[in-house]
Order: sequence, then C-alpha cells, then structure tokens
Amino acid sequence: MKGSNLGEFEEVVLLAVATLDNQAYSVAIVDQLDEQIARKVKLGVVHAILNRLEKKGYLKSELGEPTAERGGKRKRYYSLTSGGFFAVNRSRELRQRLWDKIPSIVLENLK
Amino acid sequence: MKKNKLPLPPKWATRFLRWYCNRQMAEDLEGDIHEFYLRNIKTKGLKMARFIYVIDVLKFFRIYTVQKPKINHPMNHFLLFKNYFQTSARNLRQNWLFSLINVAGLAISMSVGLLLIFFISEIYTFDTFHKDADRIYRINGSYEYLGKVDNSFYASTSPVTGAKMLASIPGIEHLTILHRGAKSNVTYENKTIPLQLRWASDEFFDVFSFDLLAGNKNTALTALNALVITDESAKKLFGDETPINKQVILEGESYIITGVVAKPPMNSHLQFELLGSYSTYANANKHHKWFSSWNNMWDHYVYFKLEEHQDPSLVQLGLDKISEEENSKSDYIVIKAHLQPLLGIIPGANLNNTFGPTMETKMVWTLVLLGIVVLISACFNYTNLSLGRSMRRSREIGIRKVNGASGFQVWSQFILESTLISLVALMVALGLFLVLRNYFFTIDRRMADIVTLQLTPELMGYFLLLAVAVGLMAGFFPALFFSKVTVLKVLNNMNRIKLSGQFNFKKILILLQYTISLAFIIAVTLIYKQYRYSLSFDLGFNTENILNLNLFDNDPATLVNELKQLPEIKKLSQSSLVTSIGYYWGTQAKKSKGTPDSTSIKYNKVDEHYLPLHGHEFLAGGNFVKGSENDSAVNNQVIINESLLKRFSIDTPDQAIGEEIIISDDVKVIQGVLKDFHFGRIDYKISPFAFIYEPAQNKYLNILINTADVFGTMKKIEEAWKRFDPVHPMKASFYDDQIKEAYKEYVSWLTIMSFMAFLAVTIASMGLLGMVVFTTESRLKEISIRKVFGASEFNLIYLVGRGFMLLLVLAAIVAIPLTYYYVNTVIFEEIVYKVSFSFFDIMMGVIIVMAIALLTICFETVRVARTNPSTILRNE
Repeated sequence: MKGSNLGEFEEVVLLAVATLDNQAYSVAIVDQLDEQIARKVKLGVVHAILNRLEKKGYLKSELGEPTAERGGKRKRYYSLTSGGFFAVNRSRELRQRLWDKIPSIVLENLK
Repeated sequence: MKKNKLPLPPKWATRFLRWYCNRQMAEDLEGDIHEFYLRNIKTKGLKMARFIYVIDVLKFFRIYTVQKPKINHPMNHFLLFKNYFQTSARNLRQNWLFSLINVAGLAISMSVGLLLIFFISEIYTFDTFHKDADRIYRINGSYEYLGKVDNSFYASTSPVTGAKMLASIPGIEHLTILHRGAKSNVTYENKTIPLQLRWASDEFFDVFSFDLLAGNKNTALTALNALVITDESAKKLFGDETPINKQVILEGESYIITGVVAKPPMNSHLQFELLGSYSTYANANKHHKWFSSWNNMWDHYVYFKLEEHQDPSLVQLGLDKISEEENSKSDYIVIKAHLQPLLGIIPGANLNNTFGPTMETKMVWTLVLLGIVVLISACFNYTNLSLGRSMRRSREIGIRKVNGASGFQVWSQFILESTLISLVALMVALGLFLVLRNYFFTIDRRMADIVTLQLTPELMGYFLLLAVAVGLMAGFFPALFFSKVTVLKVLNNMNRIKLSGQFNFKKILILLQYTISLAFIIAVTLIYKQYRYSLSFDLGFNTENILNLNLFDNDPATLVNELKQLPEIKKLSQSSLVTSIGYYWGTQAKKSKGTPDSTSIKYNKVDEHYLPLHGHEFLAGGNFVKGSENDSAVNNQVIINESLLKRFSIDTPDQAIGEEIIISDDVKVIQGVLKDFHFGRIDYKISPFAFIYEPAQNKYLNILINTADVFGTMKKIEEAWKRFDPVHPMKASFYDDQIKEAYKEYVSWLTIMSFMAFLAVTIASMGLLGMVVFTTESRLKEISIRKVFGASEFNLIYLVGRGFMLLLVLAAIVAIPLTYYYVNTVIFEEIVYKVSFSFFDIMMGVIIVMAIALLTICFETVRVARTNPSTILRNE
C-alpha cells in the first residue's frame, strides 16, 4: 500500500477536517489551520490538498444546502473516510512508536 | 435581507471561472472564492478585494480544476441531428401556415438573389479572358472648351495620344490604336453583307487575346487593305471556302483577308465582325489637318498593355505631360487623357462614345442593394414568426436543457431548422428563377447582349452558399433567443415569460419591412410619373405620324419618287439625324471670323422639307430656299434657335436674319430663327442649335404618314425599300416609338422597381398576416371575453389592428422623405426637366400599402371575432 504514508501537510489538513466535525469546508479549514496551529495557508493550497486527499480516498465530500451567502453557492463539506481515519491514526501510531523508543535519558537531556 | 447588497466581483472573472472549471468543482469553488472576496471587502476594501478575486480565479486555473474536453460530445451532437430534424419537421407540419409563409417568402426573395448572383458573376467576368487583363488599360478623354467643365468622360481619345505615348512613356509592352469604324458593306463575288468594321493597328493581337484561328498574329493587321474576319461572318460571306487571301470589296475598295478570328465572346466589351488594318484608315485620312490633331478624340481608342511590375501612375504622369504639351497649342480647348483599367470598363463608369453596351457600377450595386433588401425582409418574417411561437417552443427547449443540452446545442438546433427551411426554399426558388430568367431579359434589351444566365456547377455552389447564408441570417435571432432561455423560467412560469423586450424587437422588424415596401412603391410612383412626363413632354415640334427611315447612305431619289406615288404619304424630308432621342452632332460656331469667342453648338443637316414637316415654329425669317446645287448662297443657309441668338447677343430675332456666322470654319447666312425646342432628351438642357441646309444627306428619310391602315402602309413602304436596297433590311421606326425607346431606361427601372415593390409588399403582408394570426391566437380568450361583454367586430379589429396600423404610419413617416431624396438625387440625378410631384402622388402608394395591411388584419381578426365565444371559453 504505497502512498499510505501521509505528508505532513496532508496530515494536518486531515486532522483539521476531523476537528471541524461536519462543518469542514475549504474556507473553514483555512481558518482552523490559522487559529489552531497558526499556519497561514492559501485557499488554493488547501483546495488542491483536499482534492488530492479525496482522490486517495481519505476524504469524502458532499454539497450542502444553498444559502444566501457566498453568492448563493453551495458549500462542499468534507469528512474523513475510514481510510482517512486509518491513515492519520497510523501516522500518529508510527510517531508514538518512535517517541516511545526515545531513551528517557536523552529525553531528559533534551528538555 | 437585501439591505446592504454588496457589489458583485468582476463578472468576466466569474464567467471565466465557470468556463474553465469542471462541473463538479465549479460551484463550491466559486462560492469559496466569493466568500474570501466578501471577507476582503471588509478588511481590505472593495478595490483590493476585486483584485484578489481576479488573482484567485486565475490561480485556480490548474490541471485538476480544468474541464476535460468531452470526447463523446461531437458524436452525441451528430446523433442528435436526427432528433433535431424530426422535431423540426414535426414543427413545420404543425404550424403549416407559418411554414408556408416562411418558405414562400424566402423562396420568392431567394429567386431574386439567384438572379443577382447570376448577373453579378457574369458582369464581373467581363474582359477577364484576356491574358494579363490586369495590365491592360484604355485611355479615356475629358473635353473642356473655354474653361467650361463638362463632367462627362469619353472612352475615346486622339490617335496622337497613342503615337506620343510610344515615344515618350517607358514601360509599355504593346499598344494598339482602334478606330470605331462603322457597319460597312462587304462584297465577295455576288454576295454583299453588312458587317461591323473596326480599324485596328498591328499590335492588336498582342494587347488582346482574341483567338486568331488562321493567319499570322504579327502581320495580319500590318499591310494596307488587310482585313481580319470573324469565323461567324466568314461563314456568312464565304460559306465553306477558306477565307484566307480571298479578295473582297469593302465600300468600293479591294481588300485581302489576312486572318480569321474567333467571334469575340459575349463577355468582351469590344465587339466586331471585321477588323481592318488601321494603316489603311490612316493612309486614307492623313492628308486632313484634323486627322493628326489633338482634338480628333471622338472615334479613336487607344489600348495598351503595361510591362510587368510597372506602376500605372507613372503612365498617368506621362499622359498628363502629353496633355499639357498639346493643350498649350490651343487657347480654348483642354483635353485630358486618363487611364482606365480594362477590367474597369464593365462594370464601370458611364462614359460617352463607348463600344457597345456598358453596365454602370451604380446600376449593378443598386440591383444588389435591392435584392439584399428583399432578402432581409423575408428573413425578418422568419425571425418574427419564430419568436412569436417562442412560448410554445420554449417548453421543448426547457426539457432539452434539463436533459443537459448546452446553449450551443440549442442554438445549432435552431440554425439547422432555419437552414433546412431555407434549403427547401432554394428548391422552390430555383423553379421560380427559371421563370424569372426569361422575364429578366425583357426588362432591358441590352441585358441579352451582356449576360447569358446559364447554369454552371460553380454557380450551383454559390446558390447553396446563398441558402446557408439566408438560413443563418433568418435563424440567428431566434436561435440566440432560445439558447438563452433558462430552464427555471421556462418550466416554472410557463405563462409569464416576459415578452416585452422581444416584442419591441419584432415591432422594429415589422416597421422596417413596411418602410421598405413603402419605399419601393413610392419610388415606382415617382419613376412612373417622370416617365409619363417624358413621353408626353412638349418638345416644341411635331413627332406624330412620322416614320424615320434609315437610308444606309443610299441616294434616296428613286425611293422618294416611288414613295411620293403612295396616297398615304403626305410629306417627305431628309435629315442627318433624328433629334430628341439622345443623339447629337456637335461642332463649333463663331459670330465672325476674327474673334476667338466661339461656342459649341449641336446641329442637324436637313433639306428644305424638314422644318415644315415637323411643324417647327419660326420667330423670324423663313424656311430654307431650294436652289441649284452649286449656288453658294443656297448652300450656306442656316436656321438657328433662340439660344444661339442669345449666345451671340443678338437682340431680336429679326435682326439676325441675313447675318453671317461661322460654323466649323464655313461662313453661313442666317435664314431664319426658330423658337427653342428640345433637340435632346429631356435630361439635356436646351443649348445653341442650328439646322444646316444640305439637301443630299442620305442618312434619314422622314416620312409623314396619314392613314388609318398603318400596317398596310408599312408593308407598301417595305416593298419599295426592297426594290431600292436589297442588301440592308429596312430599318424604320415611328418617331414616337423612338422617343419611347430613348426613355427605355426608365422602363427598366420601373420594371425592376415595381417587381421589387411587389415582392416587398407580398413578403411584408405575409409577415403581417403571420403576426396577426399569432396575436389573435394568443389573445383568443381575451377577445372571446370581450365579445361576451358586447364588443362589436369593429371594436375587436380596432383592438388588434391599432398597434399594427400605428407601426405603418411610423413606417410611412420614415419612408417618404428617404425615398423622395433617393429618387431625386440618385435615379433622376441627370435630368434637367423634372416633373413636379404632388403630395397625392406620394400618398397613393402609402394608401395602397395601408389598405393591403388593413385587409390582412381584418381578414384574420374577423375570422376570430366570428367564432362562437362559448367554443373557446367552454374549456375553462
């Protein structure tokens, strides 16, 4: 399963989608990234990543109801697929495994 | 909610985004960018927000957002053709009245279009068969006397021009001098036939590409007394014998046939049956002083071929120099030479002294314009009727769009439909055209000399092109309208589609149609009036019952004696010219020998019977006195008109009697003064004129006839003629008929215009009928309810017709001044004596059109108004 390794930014975006529950559409994601981890990202970058993740099967999307805002255009809401959850989860586990391998002395020194 | 409606981002950017972005992403992406835009307005201001919006749109132009071209699309489209075709055919059948109006209107106007294509394509092939035709030029002349600028140009020039050009202007490959020649009698053994002779100098066949069938092209026209004959005439004269080296007699002299040339094709402006070597003509005339003079410019023609890559303007410079040099020799005459390209002869400007028929560019383009106007009018019908039916059709379009048809697909469906109709119309038009073709030739006899109107494959191609063009033109607006229909509107609000916008558009089209119809009708009325006026114009002398007989240079003494025996023939006279039909002899006249003050006059040479026979009115003096042939006092008699009297400042007519004047260097004595009369056509101003006494003219015999049996008398005259001149067929016409003939161009205009008027009115009426049918149909319920409440038929007609009649009145207001101006300035441009038009003349056409329109409206409205309202309202 090549490509199951997530890029760093991909991972962040997936996590952001997950934090936003069912309100995750591109603009909200951009805002979330800004607020939570202070990363200013361009909409175009997020949009491209969302599109790529959807193609990989980590995300699914559906259009919401039209509202009077945004020139009457519908929002596309993203949510994690089980594959997506598996991918972020795995990424966290891999990291955790590495964390766990750090000898406590080294950890102490670094602190 | 709409309290603070924020300005929208740049429309074009949004449109661009929608265009490139694939369907799945387009909506939310647009929304996203829009959201940022709104946010930016708050934080960064409107201007910046708009700018960022544009940048964003551009930035999102990426591989994953862009639409993939649909590979199956064109194929689908093609498959749908069958469906389009079916729906179109069904629609045509369902609305048979509209279809009939459309096909009929388009067919009628297209047949005119076909005729025009034929005509134009033939007109523009004139003289193109010559090799290097674009390098061949003719020299035209303009003539000025004592600073009096005469705006007419002549196709002819002095032979001096030709000789001088060769000597002084470089870059001329070949040059030939022609003399107009005349219809001349050619005799071989016992056979004599008249042939059209032209004198041509030796490089004739180098300049032109006429096909020399026998003989040497370099020497055929070199030797004295050499003749080149056309194959057709050779057949007539020699039968099956070979013509080369045969000896023939031409006007009493012996000539040798040195060549046979193919008859000039129809599309050659230069027509001849016999070419004589120019050296023969020059040899016979070179002892005359006038022959080599600069103002000998009335019957010589110079053609030349320029070397390749030479600038014709250099030749013009050279010509200007030659003209200047020659003009400096004379105090009164300024003759200028101008270049005219061979291909600019037909169609070209209206010149004097041309060979054979010409076709004015003005005439060609007027015809084209008229044709296009009629075509457009028929297209309007289509547009109007299609838009009128739009309510019904839009449901179909809505369904199509719901199923995914793009605007372009709908557009092409409607274009296909209109093209189909126009192709059907083309078939009908071809049939009509074959009928029209014969009719066309009768419009103007010259037409048959210019065009053949034969069908060729190339022309068929043009026809198809015409049909497609008409289809596009007719279907364009309906197609555009339907392709813009939005699904929601159509399916939601079926009955409340706003028609106001396009209804105005339709009104404008009807207005235009009626303006056109009115313009044609008014033009016809005006031209007809002028024509009648010209025919019944009082010329100042009698033309009734006078037969003018062409004598072909025979001495008529024996004929006169024979004709005198006939009791029906009252009087006989001779003249060198038939006046008042557009032909003139001109020369110079002076009051006395010493003065340079001379004037150009027109003249006619007549015998002593001419003036009484034509009933000319004398102001002073009397008729010519017959005397012995050698008496100079007799031969010097001249009778002048009032204008010449005034020109020479002689106070009273009586004073003029016995005075001497000089006419072309001869001293003449004034014998009488005539009241001014119209010796020209009425587009010619009366100017100085003189009758010169010369009893033996041998040109025309004027015969005054008084009989009830014109036919029998003509027969007797013809018998006498046959005994008198067996060679020429008798050529005689009544004066009044000749005058009618002289105004033939009005008749041509009249026929063309009335035909076009007929078409325009027919098409416009059909269109109006369609619109009225549509209006009444869509207001059926309203009309029925009104009727239930007691509206009379008149009320209903008024209700429906008011709007249309108002349009017509508006059309009249536009058409009347425009047409009046056009007819007066373009068609009657050169006429001096114009008929005055009354208000009624103009209103007559308007009233006719109004009446037809009213009839159309009444016809349909009454039909609807008479239906029982209960049948219509029952279903409610």
